[in-house]
Amino acid sequence: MTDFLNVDFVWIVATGLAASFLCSWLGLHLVLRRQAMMSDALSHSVLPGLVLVYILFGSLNSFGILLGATVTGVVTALLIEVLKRQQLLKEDAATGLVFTTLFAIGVVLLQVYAGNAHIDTQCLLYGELAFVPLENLIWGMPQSFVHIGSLLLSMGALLILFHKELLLTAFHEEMAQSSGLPVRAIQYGLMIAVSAVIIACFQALGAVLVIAFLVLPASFGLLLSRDFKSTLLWSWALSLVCVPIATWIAFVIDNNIAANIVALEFGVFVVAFIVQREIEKRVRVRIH
Amino acid sequence: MNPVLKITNLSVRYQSSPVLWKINVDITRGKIIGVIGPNGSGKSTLLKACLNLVPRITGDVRFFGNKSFEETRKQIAYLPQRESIDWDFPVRVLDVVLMGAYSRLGLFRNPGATEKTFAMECLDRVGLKDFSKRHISELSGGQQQRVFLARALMTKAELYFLDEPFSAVDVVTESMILSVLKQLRDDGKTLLISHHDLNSVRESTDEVILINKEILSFGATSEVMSNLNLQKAYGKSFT
Repeated sequence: MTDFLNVDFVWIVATGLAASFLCSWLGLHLVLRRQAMMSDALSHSVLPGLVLVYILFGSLNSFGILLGATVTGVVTALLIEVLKRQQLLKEDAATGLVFTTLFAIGVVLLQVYAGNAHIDTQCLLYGELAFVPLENLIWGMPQSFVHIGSLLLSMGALLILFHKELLLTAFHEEMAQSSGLPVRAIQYGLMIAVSAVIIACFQALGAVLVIAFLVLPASFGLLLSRDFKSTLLWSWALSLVCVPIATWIAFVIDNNIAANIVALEFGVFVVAFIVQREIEKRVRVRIH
Repeated sequence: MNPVLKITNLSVRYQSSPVLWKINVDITRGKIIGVIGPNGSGKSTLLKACLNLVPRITGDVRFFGNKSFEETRKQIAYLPQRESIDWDFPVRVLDVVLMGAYSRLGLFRNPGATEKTFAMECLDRVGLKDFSKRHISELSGGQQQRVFLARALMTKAELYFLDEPFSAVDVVTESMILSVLKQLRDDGKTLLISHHDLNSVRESTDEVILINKEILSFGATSEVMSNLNLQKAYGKSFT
């Protein structure tokens, strides 16, 4: 029964938790800006950046993550902004057009350079946390854990440093602008950060499931709390409980770990939603 | 005396239709100025255009003599319309008031004990000291409006742009907000307020700008609020 409790399991859970903490922190900022689906757009548009990184470096490294993320994040945000500002398209249509086109360019690049870029398309979509212990080691730790962990530390520092600017621009853009905050620069910075997270996590979580890691815990936190800090802590608590349990279930029934985590977190979200609504109903009845 | 706010030849359009047309106004210090006009007359747009929140086709806005908005933004406060606020956003009352200090603090500096103490004083001035830990959605419409007034007070500004501060408030709240605004005016601050309630405009403002895309009349409240002027703006009689 405790066979699974080995070093591999620990590294998988540690990587899953680092990815969850990182994604939910950044995802909370996206959700608060009502830009949750921007993660969907970016998860597609990072593909050409990703292929570019593999063509240039042959594998993923910290500099490559930064380069690919900057290129794709800035190109995506700029193209959407240009189409929107020229009043050629509405924001949703501009987003839809840009990310699918960039994804298409990525697919073409992938097929042309597939021989050089060792990218498993299956893995690109679904990711595979189970492969983490098999990866090359950096300082005695699996590559994905090092990439995601170092991004969690550096991104966390930036998110703390710019917390009040991010909070006000998300709360009310015009108020932020009138206070002199660089609203557009903050938006571009956030796009680059989300792109970096998606690129760093794609091997472990996949380009599709990473969206759930960005949006689900943040939504769970918002359901239960009333201020930013406790929202973030609740979203981390969800990951802290679900990641080890879902990984254990995946070991037992032999399926994709990231998908298991998302399914379990969604289950908990639904239960919390129902309980919260029931409590609200009872409180309302007591007041009246 | 140099005007606190000088608007010259200001025109704004959304898509292809003009919303404001050749606005010229000079506003002097220490007054409450009401901006009134029918729905869609450009009241909010006038405030936003002064603060560079909407693009102008033409025109210039200068502050405190001949300074640009960028040079003087720390002396300017903006209270947006309550409909534009996301009341489910995870912030408590005190957090919102503290946001008023952000412009003064600059990048990387977070509000400290001094700012928190002053934020509590601002909340006290609007009668919400005991509500500092509440979530903003747990307040009534009037209380929510007062939180944003406290946020405006937190900026320690000289010039206030208030977009519909009296919307969705009860009589008690209205008189409380009005007394805070008059206090600010008496301290030498200038307030530009977009207003929809013609009855309360008479007692709450010193001067009025009557607009309907262009300025129809500007001057002392009693002079501008004549039946003829209002009929010109609203297209109906108010007697």
